[in-house]
Amino acid sequence: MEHREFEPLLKAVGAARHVRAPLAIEGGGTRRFYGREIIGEPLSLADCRGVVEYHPTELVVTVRSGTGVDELEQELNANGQMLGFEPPVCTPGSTIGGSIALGFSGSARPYRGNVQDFVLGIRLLTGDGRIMRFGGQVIKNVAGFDIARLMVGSLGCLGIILEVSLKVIPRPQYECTLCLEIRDADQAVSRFNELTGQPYPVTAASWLDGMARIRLSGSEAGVDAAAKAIGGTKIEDDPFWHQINSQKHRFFSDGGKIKKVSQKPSVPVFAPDRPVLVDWGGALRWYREETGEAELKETVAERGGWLELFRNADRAHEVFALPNPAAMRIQHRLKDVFDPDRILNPGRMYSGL
Amino acid sequence: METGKLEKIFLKALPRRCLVSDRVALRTYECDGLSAYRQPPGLVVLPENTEQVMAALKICRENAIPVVGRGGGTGLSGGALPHPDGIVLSLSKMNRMLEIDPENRIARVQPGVTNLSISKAVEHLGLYYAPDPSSQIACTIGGNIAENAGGVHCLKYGLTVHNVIALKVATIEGDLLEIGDESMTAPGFNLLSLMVGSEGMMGIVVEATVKLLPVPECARVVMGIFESVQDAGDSVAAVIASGIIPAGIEMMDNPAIRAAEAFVNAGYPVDARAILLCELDGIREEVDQQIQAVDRLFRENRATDIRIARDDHERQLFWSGRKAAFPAVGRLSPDYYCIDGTIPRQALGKVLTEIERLSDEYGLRVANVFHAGDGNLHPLILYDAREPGQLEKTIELGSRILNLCIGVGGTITGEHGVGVEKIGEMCTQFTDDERELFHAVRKCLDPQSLLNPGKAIPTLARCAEHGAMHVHEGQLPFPDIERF
Ligand SMILES: Cc1cc2nc3c(=O)[nH]c(=O)nc-3n(C[C@H](O)[C@H](O)[C@H](O)COP(=O)(O)OP(=O)(O)OC[C@H]3O[C@@H](n4cnc5c(N)ncnc54)[C@H](O)[C@@H]3O)c2cc1C
Repeated sequence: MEHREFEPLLKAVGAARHVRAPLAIEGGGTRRFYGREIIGEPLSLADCRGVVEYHPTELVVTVRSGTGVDELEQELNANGQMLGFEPPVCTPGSTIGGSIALGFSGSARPYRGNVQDFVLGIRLLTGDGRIMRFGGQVIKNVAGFDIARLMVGSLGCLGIILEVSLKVIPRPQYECTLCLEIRDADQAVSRFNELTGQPYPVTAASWLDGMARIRLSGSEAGVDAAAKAIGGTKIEDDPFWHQINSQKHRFFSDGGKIKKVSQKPSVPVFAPDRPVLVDWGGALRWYREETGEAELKETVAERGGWLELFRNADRAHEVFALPNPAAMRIQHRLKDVFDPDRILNPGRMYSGL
Repeated sequence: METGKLEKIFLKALPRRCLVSDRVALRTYECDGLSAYRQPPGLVVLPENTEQVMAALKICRENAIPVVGRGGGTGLSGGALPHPDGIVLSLSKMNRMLEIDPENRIARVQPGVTNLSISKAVEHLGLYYAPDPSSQIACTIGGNIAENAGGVHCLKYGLTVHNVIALKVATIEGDLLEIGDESMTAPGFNLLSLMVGSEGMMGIVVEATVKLLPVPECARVVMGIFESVQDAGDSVAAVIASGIIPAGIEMMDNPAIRAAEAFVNAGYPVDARAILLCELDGIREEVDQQIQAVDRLFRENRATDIRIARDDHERQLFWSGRKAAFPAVGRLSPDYYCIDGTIPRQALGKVLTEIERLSDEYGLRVANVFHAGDGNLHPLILYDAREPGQLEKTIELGSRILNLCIGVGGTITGEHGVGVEKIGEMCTQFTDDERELFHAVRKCLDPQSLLNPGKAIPTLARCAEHGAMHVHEGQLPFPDIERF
């Protein structure tokens, strides 16, 4: 039996299914605050761990879902490689399976891509107790529908990710951050847009408290040439990127409600006079307690984009924006296909799903 | 349903000029780029806007008429092969650029826009659309999305799935779904990735928003010449291990080199066992550094000679042979058949040796071009369809090659899609459970299975039959009976 090592998980799902008892799928349990209320018996994937296959010259790694992100990154690092989507890491704890299910992409998202851009294949345990594989371990593969990428951001509501194959990228030879004082958030974003429209090796662009930060990555010669053209104060190893990615930055530390708004970069930043952290070159805007849910909802309705109640929201209600009714119907049908008894993380994403 | 009847039904909702019913004209649509499979459709519908697409789909739903979407008809897996009782919905009239947004670096386009015309339309802004299938002058963005098309530059810049950020999709149930978003996030499950590569079986794309990238400041190309395919393969691994991601890295074997050289005089060494074309792009300083590194790595891996294109003219010349490889091989033989398997690159030597052996066994010549960076092989089998039995033999050899790809941990299709062509091999690559799940997922968007029926995912019955056909080690029973 090819899937033998997953027998205990298969049994747990079978048992839960038998009595229709919900399961709360858990990697390292570092994101229990995220999404709607958690119900059900915890099912831990912590024992489903380890790098299964890694050939650096193929740019592909296959890893069990319970493997720590930090552990995986160490192994990649030893070979001069990294994960392109820069998942946030809480050490210890954050697992790679959790990262895929959450679908959080780091600051490089507009430049290097998001989580699904790096997913090549998956081994999945569905709610009806079947273990299947989709995608594969090669970079180009269009055989069958793209179930592997469908799992990204599905919050464990469609299936239990057992194993995943990821495309990895070389760690840049050299990296630096340029700090530019720009008072106005919108001005910073238009500067970002202007720079990204030119062939500079930008891999992150963020703005907070009158300071724009632009990260450049590549060969030293290339980065230096771009840095000269862009200007600003150059620093190496800026801890800022890690701090905002793992939300250890002081911006996130007031303990209040954190809201995430994604908008087309050129949409003016709402309430720039109150605390707001702009990332993804302008497409991502983080708000704190000072800016209310209702007004953010309004601005998103008016100017486009999506609002997510990221942290400390009322989790009995919806925390994510709802897709339109036609798309919602499809979400429910997908749920029925993958998890007909609705035992996997029920309601974690939307009520009734 | 026969043509006359279909025409009558569709005339109720669509103007005459949007329908093709003439027997001769219908022939134009009988196949895509894989002409071994032909079937004229009952009717061709050419909508001019989204409303007409939706009106046509409504008629199909109400009358249970199969619908095959069609873009440029350049597909290489029979994805746009018509259904005898159904319509072909050709999106070729919906070919406008709707919006170019240089600030956010995105373009909103209709599905029938050709791939190249997007880059052409934004050239003056210093931007381009990255995925560049060799068919880019003729293939459409709708077809690219349905197949998740790739190109020479996709190791560095990604496939279609990495470069499309939002879609409007007309469903057979009558909805206009908005999938993905310009803000780089969208709520709910990730339907965007599901839609890309779904081979026209989940909805008709009526609008796409794509990413635009800045044209690199500088691009240079190195040609490495090798005495063995293995050395060339090792060189690719060495470049990647050094941390360089080339904009493109392509390999050609001796038969492909000879064919291309005879066709375009690109200056290829006709005695080489393999050449590599490696393009590096980015900031000038970086490219200069990387060119030197690649030069060194190729030499360390036993390149017998290295040529660096001196200027843009020579760069284009180097590429011209690779870009013309298919038609060049086409000149050597009345017909050729292109295979699209992908393998882990480390298995290259083994796979090419085995292909050579199979080529001898079947008495059919094979030329290999290879997207070497991402492991996507394109063996081109030369045959003559006029000779009785040759096409069947060719298809069988193709199938053996695909099974070889699966065997080394690869896949049966890297970029051309399954279509009707590789439907048998899907039985080998996926289990019954997996294929059943594909069908179930498809039904979430097309409950009646009217969109491109019979493509991409084989039925269980079909696989049972396929399994039975393989009992005699590749010796198909009844070789002269059509199996498609
Ligand atoms: C010489 C040559 C070179 C090629 N090189 C490459 C290459 O380098 N890389 C590569 O990836 N491919 C390549 N191809 C294959 C082909 O060009 C691609 O698959 C392309 O994406 C097909 O686009 P099309 O518009 O011609 O689609 P078609 O062939 O018309 O259709 C392909 C599929 O898309 C569906 N479809 C079309 N439009 C829509 C729509 N609007 N909504 C829903 N479904 C739709 C059809 O039903 C069909 O299943 C090549 C083909 C040729 C002939």
